[in-house]
Amino acid sequence: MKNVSARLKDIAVYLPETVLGNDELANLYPEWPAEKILEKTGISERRIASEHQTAGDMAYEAARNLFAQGEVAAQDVDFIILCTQAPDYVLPTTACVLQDRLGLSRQAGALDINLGCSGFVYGLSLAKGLIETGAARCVLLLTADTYSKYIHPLDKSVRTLFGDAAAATAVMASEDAEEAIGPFVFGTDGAGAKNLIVEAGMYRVPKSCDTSIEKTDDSGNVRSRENLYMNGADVMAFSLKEVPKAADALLVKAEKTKENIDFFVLHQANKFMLQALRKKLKIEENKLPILMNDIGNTVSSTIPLALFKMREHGMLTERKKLMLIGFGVGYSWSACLLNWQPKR
Amino acid sequence: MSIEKFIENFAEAVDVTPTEVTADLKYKDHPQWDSMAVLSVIAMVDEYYSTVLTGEEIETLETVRDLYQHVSK
Repeated sequence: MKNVSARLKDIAVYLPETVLGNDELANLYPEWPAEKILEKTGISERRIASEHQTAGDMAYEAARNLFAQGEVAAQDVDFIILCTQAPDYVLPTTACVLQDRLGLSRQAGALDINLGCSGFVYGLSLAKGLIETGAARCVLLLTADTYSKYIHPLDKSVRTLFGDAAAATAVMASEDAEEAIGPFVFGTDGAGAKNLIVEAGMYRVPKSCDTSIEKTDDSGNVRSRENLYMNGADVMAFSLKEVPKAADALLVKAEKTKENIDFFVLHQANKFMLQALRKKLKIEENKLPILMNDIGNTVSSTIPLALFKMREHGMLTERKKLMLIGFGVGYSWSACLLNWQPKR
Repeated sequence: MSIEKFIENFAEAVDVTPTEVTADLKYKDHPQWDSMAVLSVIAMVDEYYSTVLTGEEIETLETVRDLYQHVSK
């Protein structure tokens, strides 16, 4: 069998229309003026999906944008992966619904993966596996999430941080033998599950009168067990511990050094976390982009959105060696190298 | 690292004037202590002491001296 390699062909994004700015948040939280929110989080606004707009809807729009960009044709897609933690239905699989909505081939495979911040890099690993084993030739990797629908309106700890968005990435087979995506390292620590969680609503803790009871924490944030909860301190500690280790392990695996890497594209959690990681990784500022000030933390879409913005800003006009690191809810993390090739 | 240096780093991390920070300061009682301060201390301690503090440790300890002694171990 002739060797094929998986290659990232194109990326498109979709941002919902509604904007949640810092002024609006400042009105809800009197001791948190807009400037303080911006200063602490690096976020000035985020997008919020409308009431009846699902993650699946946003993934649909991102895919349509991708096909409109002209590098990938809908009829060429033979596998769809949707990464989301807010599927349209309990079942069936939202990716199956999208196959129909997008008019994709009925010979295409489709599946959902339930991951958050690490989801894009995991998705790339699956796409690479499918392509390099000859199981698929054109993978449509969709990331889409609506964390806003899990967040209590009076929980400023997470409401200031998260935004909704979707991205569509085409990973395609290339006869070029040079590895464009990989190697990968993975990591999982389920002991951290309780630190970033929507606890109630599925089978471990079914919804009940008790789970809907709203409680106020020591910082004045309100939530019930049916809402998103994040232990910021522990998530920060986890990130500081594991991300540098993953980066080092990947460099060893790839037989490369930090100096060989042009850009470190990390999951765009918030500016403070990224700056702390940059210092710990000992990377120059211009090598670790922070591009989420107008969208916030868009979960599995942060990395493709960052790549999209980097391309728009002219940072990817030549061949570049990138390290992508997704990390967060799970805890789950993954890192890979990506050889970016600009369109010819 | 000396406790004086720790106090200096602590003040900088939490964004308060150094004169407001003493070894006996019960940091959780300081009016500017909030969830961002917790993250800042975790990041500062990691940067200067190569130790990752947990939120629970910060919650359980009381004074700046307690933190210093804990990370100096």
